[in-house]
Amino acid sequence: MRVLKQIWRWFDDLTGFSQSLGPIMAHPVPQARKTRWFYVFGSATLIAFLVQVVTGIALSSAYVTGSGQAYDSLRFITSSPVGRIIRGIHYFGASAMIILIGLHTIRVYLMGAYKYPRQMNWLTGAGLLLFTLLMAFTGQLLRWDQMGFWTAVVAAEQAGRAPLIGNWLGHFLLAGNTVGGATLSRFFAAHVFFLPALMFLFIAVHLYLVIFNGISEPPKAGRPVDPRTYRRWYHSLLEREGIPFWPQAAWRDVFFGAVVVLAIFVLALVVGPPELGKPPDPTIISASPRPDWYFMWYFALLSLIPKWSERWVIILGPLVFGLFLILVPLLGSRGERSPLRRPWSILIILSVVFVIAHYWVTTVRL
Amino acid sequence: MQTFFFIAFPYIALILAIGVGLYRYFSHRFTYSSLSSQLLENRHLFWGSVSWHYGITLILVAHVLPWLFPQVAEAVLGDARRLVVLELTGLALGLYCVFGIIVLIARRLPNDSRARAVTSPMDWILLLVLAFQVLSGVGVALFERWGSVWYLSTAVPWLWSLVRLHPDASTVTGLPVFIQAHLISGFVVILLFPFTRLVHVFAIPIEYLWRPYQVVIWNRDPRQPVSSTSVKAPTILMPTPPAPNDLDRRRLLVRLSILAGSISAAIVGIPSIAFLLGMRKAPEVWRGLGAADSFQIGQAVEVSFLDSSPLPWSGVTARTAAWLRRESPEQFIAFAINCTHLGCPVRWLPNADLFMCPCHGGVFYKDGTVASGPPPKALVTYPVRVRDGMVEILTSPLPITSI
Repeated sequence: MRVLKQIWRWFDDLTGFSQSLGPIMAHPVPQARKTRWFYVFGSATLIAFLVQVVTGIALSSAYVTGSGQAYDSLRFITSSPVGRIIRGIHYFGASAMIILIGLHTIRVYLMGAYKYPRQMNWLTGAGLLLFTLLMAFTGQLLRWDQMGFWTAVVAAEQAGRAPLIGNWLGHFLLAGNTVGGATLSRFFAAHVFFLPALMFLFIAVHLYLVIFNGISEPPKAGRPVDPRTYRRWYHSLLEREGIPFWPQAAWRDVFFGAVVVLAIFVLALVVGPPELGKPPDPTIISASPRPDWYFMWYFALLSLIPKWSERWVIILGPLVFGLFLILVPLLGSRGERSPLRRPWSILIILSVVFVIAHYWVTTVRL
Repeated sequence: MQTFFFIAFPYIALILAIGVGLYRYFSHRFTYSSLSSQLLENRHLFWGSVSWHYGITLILVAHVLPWLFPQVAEAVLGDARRLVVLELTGLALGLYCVFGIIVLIARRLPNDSRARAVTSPMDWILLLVLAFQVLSGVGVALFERWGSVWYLSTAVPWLWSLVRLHPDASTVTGLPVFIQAHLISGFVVILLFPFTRLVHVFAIPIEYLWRPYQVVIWNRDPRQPVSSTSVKAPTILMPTPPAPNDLDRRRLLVRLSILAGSISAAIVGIPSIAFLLGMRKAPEVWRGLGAADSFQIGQAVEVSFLDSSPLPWSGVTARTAAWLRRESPEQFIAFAINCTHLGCPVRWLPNADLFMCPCHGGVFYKDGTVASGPPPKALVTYPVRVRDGMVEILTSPLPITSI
């Protein structure tokens, strides 16, 4: 024990971590009181992401990025007991990440935490939300069984609805005329290198901003945000009643994160990874492609909405969603933060949740 | 070496022209001008500038139009008389330009010329390159006749291959050296764009055409020689470029660093993006499906065949499927299996005579037209033919429904 302490002292003397990082860890944060457990979703999303990084590296060490061999390499991975668990963790980790980033977004939106000075926190978070959805989509494709194969086709078809460049974009995604040898490599590069690199970058900026702007205090009805006085007021609040982030506030993040990891592990052990379907053979026509659960509601929506509205939904839907995410902090940067004084925010969240739940339940019945 | 000049160099020239051009536009917008020396010397300028600008504008149009519309140009030049008229006009305009540029150079040459005083080294480089360009152009027109025709099959495909990010210099590498020099120095001119007064091309004051005219009134007789004491007056008006040591040293270093960084990023980034964007166009080939007599009339069956250019590691994904039906002894029809809605594979229901999509419930009649559900258009058909008693299908891209 004493040896360990000496090693730490030597290391700290050379790196200065306790002087540089120590104050950051212990920086004061507002007391969240009744809502303190609502603040754990962001860090839990990060923990789920780290779970994905670790298991993803493990999987990539045996996965073969070839349209002809990926399926067999996945069968090989699944045939080993540990490989099966790793695949399960990666699958349920993805599911957890989607749920948690959704909860985190809803929490931040309802509490108005995106208002001044945290607009950039929100915008980088919106980027991370987009990347997470793209990771989910490409990840499902990399399973490269029959579903994965048809996911690539459906992706190309959806991209094809973009005006003017649709046809080009569709074939760009497929890396050729048809789904073939080059297609899988393209999605692999996106899932394993391109998107994760962007996510690391955005996470770094997001965390930096959390420290720089401080964690938002719980909203209170009748206490609007005024950009001219907010920062001064926030600092006086911290001086009055701030508590050190580590460990008084952060222990909840650690605890909740551990629960998430445990839940992922138990699910991976008990339920296991999604079964591999038939091989990705385009000539097996008796396929009925279905996306993973997190996109199932969108899949159902595309079959149930009126035909005339479809081209608008496929193109404008994501655009409007993206525009909403961008405009939220730009247009609503001041004023009341409490959801009690922002009834529209509650209505928007309820209707979005209702639409998704409605279509999701429809597919379960299908 | 030719790879550099015909593939790398054009891209470098374009990137620098656009990058530095934009930088100059946003940071030194007021330098977007021709730095006119008209006030200093107007007599020779009139002859040089007018000949040069009218000539070169028309010549440029004659270079760009056939590049944009090669088929039209080919049709126009198909007639021998039209070709001769066009070549002669081009040659005349070229000579007009040569005259213009010689005058423009000559007026800056004399030591005591006021135009010379405002001529920077960059101006001399630009004038020389432009002179070389028009001279070599006239040379091409004289010694390698009917250039307007062979231009279409040599430089045009090369330029388009550059645009498509699939550079292919094979059509120009065999040309005589001095034609190649003409092509390369064309890109030198593009490269010089943002570094010289050539940027004035993008600052043509076309609103002069409709603005109210102005009357210039001299407060002395402009034909009288100016006395030596008043020579200094115009020097105040001259936009002399600031010497480097007058510039804030720090700002210069910052800009140099940004430039160096951008160039490095472009060197690494552009080939990577080009590689990602570059898609080899797969040729369409006919694949045999079996003896024609092995198919029953009126029955839709699933057939599978290889893609036009399967990769060694494609495995099962190299295959494509289609629904084939024999309509009559000689007539076959093949449908893509992909639903026009979102591409899922449709199934043939023989008892109902319908194709059905399992994803979103799209239904098609036996002739491929939409019966019900979300699909926006009929099933796509592949070309089929019967040859020597064998049915053959043309490999085609995955049908993507676009608006």
